[in-house]
Amino acid sequence: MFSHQDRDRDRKEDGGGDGTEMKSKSRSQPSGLNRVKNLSRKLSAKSRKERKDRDSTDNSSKMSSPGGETSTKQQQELKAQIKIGHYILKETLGVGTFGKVKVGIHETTQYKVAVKILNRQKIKSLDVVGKIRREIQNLSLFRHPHIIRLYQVISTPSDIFMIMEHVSGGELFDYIVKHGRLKTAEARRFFQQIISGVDYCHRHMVVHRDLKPENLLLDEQNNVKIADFGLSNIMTDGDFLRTSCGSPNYAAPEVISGKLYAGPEVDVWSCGVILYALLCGTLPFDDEHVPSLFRKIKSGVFPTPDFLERPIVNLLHHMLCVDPMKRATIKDVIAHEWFQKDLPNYLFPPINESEASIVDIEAVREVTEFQRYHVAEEEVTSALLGDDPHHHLSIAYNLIVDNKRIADETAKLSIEEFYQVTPNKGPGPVHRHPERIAASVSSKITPTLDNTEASGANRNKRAKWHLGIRSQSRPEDIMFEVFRAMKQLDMEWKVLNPYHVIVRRKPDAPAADPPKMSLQLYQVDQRSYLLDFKSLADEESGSASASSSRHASMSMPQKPAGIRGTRTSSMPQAMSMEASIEKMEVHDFSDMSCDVTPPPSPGGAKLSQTMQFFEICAALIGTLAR
Amino acid sequence: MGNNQPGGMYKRDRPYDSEKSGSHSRSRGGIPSSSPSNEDECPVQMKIAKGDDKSKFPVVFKWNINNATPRQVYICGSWDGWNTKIPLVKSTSDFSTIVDLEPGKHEYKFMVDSKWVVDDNQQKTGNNLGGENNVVMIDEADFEVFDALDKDLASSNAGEALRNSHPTKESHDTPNDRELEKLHQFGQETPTRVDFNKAAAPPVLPPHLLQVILNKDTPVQCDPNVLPEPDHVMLNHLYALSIKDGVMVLSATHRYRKKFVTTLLYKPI
Repeated sequence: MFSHQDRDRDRKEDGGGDGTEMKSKSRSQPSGLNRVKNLSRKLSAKSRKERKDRDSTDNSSKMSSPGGETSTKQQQELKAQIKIGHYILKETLGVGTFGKVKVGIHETTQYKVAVKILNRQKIKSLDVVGKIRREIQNLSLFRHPHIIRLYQVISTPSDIFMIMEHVSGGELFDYIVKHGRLKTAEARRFFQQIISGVDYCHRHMVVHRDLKPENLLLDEQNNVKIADFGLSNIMTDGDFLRTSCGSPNYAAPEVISGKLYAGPEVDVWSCGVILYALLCGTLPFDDEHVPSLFRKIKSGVFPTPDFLERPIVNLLHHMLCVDPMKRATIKDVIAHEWFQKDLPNYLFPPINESEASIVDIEAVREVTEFQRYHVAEEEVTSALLGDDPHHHLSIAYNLIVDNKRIADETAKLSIEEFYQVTPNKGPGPVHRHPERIAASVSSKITPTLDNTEASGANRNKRAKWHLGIRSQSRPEDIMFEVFRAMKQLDMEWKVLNPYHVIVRRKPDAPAADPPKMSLQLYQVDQRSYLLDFKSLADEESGSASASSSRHASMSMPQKPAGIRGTRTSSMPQAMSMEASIEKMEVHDFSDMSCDVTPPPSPGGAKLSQTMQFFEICAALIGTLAR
Repeated sequence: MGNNQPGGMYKRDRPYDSEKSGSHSRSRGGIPSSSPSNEDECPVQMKIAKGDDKSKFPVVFKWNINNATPRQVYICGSWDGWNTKIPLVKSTSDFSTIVDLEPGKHEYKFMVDSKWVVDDNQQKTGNNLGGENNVVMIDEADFEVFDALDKDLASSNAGEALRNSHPTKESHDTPNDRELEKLHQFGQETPTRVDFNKAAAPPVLPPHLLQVILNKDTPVQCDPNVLPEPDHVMLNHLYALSIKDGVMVLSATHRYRKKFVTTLLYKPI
């Protein structure tokens, strides 16, 4: 059970504005309710005033002008209401550090949204502009039933308005505090929805990094909505993340240690903590003394009460594994037997499905039926296919589609409940579960390349591949040698820090933009270091790649469970190399491991860039070895 | 609270009876509140079509409550020739509304409990009747959200941290290396010993980079050219074999469309 002390402690340990904002929101809920009553009273009083104003307006309009249009317009403008875009702002839901959250009503569809109002001066002085930017950037493209929707962002000189999905059930945190530890079935249902949303984020190359019950909201049907993407980040190929962010109780060991991490593994750890909280009503790692808390997290030892079933304990230990390479992946969690039980189909649709590109014709027709929009279906369709996602027709369409999906999910739940109520009625319901289990199991097995039978196969390996080049010199001496070699080869560089350099050949012409690479010195152990070479994609191809990967629905990259070993082989220092030896053309093509021939021009560009990267590396390694 | 301007009171008199005779174009001179300068600033009062939302931008106007709470607050401005009194909605500590305006300069004034006042905390300008109006400049850059955020970021602590190698104040927003790179220029300057001493130690090698896909066994059933799917952090890094028989072998894996391509280079030395 979350004791009062635990709750206060948890609040204090939250870093930055996040916790404060959520704290304020929670505290202001009762006052919000009072405000609603006061608001309704004021509204009735105001309506009387408006009647008087209308009377005077009518009188003046009669005397001044017979035009009905003018008087109608004036009457409309005299209404005391605030409109932003196509939404009318209503009562305040909560007040946070950065601003308020108000109810908004779409003036045409009457759909209810939450409008988060951020004061630009406040977010600047609190130094969270980048956080807001990341939240808007990462959240605006997402469409998932268990991730809060960001429909539109409207910027003004003084404030930024984020039009978001409205959920009325409060935080999962408060739900756990109120109910204590949940029954297994309920905890599993919440957990399945959370993992589905997190998997969606990762497939779109976004890591959340602040998963905790305070950031998981509940809607009217008690479904989870993942919120607050302020600490999220886009995962880039070849890059690691290092920022120590998130709440300490939910942070992975490598995060609190300040080490580099890839991203998904820290979200898995946080989900493990959340699962424990759902099942036990307490946190696996908890201590008032922060250094003691960190010690517990790094040890990975947590209490396992007797009421936890064996499969759950196994899953928890796999998720809360200190070694990130041995920790469960999202795929492991999804494949776990406990997770697979009663798993709804909609949570993990087939990989090839891409909802965003399918136009719902019924929703298009509903948009055209509004009196306010005198538009044809073709206009709605062209708006959807256009470049502007904030077009008001697109927004209306998306709202209708979301509303319909929610209704569909409710219908599905009703059907499932119907089958559960009458389990003995006919053989149909009995056969339903085996079919679903078999289907999901078979779909999971097929794409897997890792096979237990492969362990018997032995390849005759002459040598092992290793990363970059290693050295046991002192780090600054290594880097001095690197700078000397680069100067000798007439390269130029940017120093991000003395151990991290961006390098390229000097361009032949000012217009030329030779490919760049990144040199980073890593520490392997107390006495040895490793110089890593990484190709940096061009801005255009990089962004194109990132864009395509984010929109494509790709499976999670596999992390083979490999034994972590120290590489003993290194570049022989005594090896002499000639200054320039032309590469043999035959080797380049015969050893390409790509079985599909790419189109000539883009393939050529990509190939050329890869080969240029190899040439720079070979030259630098050769000069260093001399 | 806005000051009362004794000399600048606008009184909206009732229009003259002669104008009741159905004249379609009312003379602005008949209303004392309007001034020739306003007419010059808005030479043509065109009615913008409602569908053309992009020509106007939302602007928030607030009247802060200091001591006594007014009964009603209106705002009137040059955007429509001071024609319409727009009521502000009361909230906890202020009255506010949002008006859609075209880019450029606009003057406005508040009517608080039937008295014309200006907001002393906002920009002001003199009017032709000896009093003052509030004034606001509308810039389109404020309405493109990422441009607005970039502007705010540049003048925040995080922005300063990006520009300076030694930020004076610690920032919550840690810039990543890709952002840092854009602010540096290529050159051939070598860091000094002092730079090395000041810098943080090299980071610990992440274990992810030691999962080399070319060192994995390929299942016998599969095509030997098909490799296990790489983790995204392994992409673009250089892997090599030890030099043997005078040949250097390099490899790297890159993303291509929705797949990955591993390239090997055998280079005699």
